Amino acid sequence: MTGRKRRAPKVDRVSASELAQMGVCERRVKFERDRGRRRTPEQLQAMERGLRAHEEFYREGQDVPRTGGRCFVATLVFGEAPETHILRCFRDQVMRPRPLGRRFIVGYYRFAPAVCRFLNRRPILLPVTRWLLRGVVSVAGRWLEWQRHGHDR
Amino acid sequence: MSKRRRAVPALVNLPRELRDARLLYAEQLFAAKGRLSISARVDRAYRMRSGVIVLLELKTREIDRPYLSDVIELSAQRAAIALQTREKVSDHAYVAVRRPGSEAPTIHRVKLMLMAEVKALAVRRQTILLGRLAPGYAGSAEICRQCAFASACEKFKDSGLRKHET
Repeated sequence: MTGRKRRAPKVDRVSASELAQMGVCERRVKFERDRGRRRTPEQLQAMERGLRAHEEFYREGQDVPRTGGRCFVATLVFGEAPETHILRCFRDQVMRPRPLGRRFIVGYYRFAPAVCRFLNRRPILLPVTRWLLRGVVSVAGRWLEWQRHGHDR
Repeated sequence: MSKRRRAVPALVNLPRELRDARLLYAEQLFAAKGRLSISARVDRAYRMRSGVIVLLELKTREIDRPYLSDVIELSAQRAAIALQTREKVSDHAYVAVRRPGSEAPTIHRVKLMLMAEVKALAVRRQTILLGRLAPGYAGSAEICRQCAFASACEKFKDSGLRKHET
């Protein structure tokens, strides 16, 4: 015995719908790889019907208001960047479920616009704020990662 | 007495859990690279008050029930979102089944597979495609009857399903 850890094999890119076909018929998956995709007229009709329903479903979804959420200072400093996204996730997943976190959010929303106005008047402070926020983003990212792994176990 | 007919929204019977949730993604594509390279187009994803994301997939079919393939597809979507965005995605999701001719779909709650199970299935698929593993066959004769490869399939030939074809 070598005692070396066996690494899991790397898997080629697969889409969710391709993988779902494994739940229908594995033989068909192999056939499609070897002989190309084939559809019966009934299946083509069903696909068309499905596409129409999805378009309607999508349009319906567009009518529902969707907001990215307010993240004033981060948006000012980073714009709509991955850093802003991580901070929003941290707010929604870590802070919002906790009473103390919710209080912080309310307080933050009260003072953040004033902080933004202050920073807008003194753009020299933006690089320092960005540097400080990067530290917060790093901690938030690690926290989310840790929380996600804990959730998946 | 004539009543004005209101347009019925397609998701009039959205599950209670999602009524307060915010629609986060609609028809959005996710792609994750790494040990598990997976891409997925998400029909809808909702953000719950707790911050967790819940997925909803629309299906149009005659039979009003979720299938194993729906669970696999949603589990793969969950893996793609979680790997790409590092967000927490719920281990349950909803399948909205719309039957042809009906206005509103029925919503079914399904339990999703773990990330490790999705990966194991992707590995199995690849092994089958490489010809190192014999593939399994469809569990239902109805699937075989509707399959475009039926005439070439050993199971279809052996099982005598062809006799009932007409």
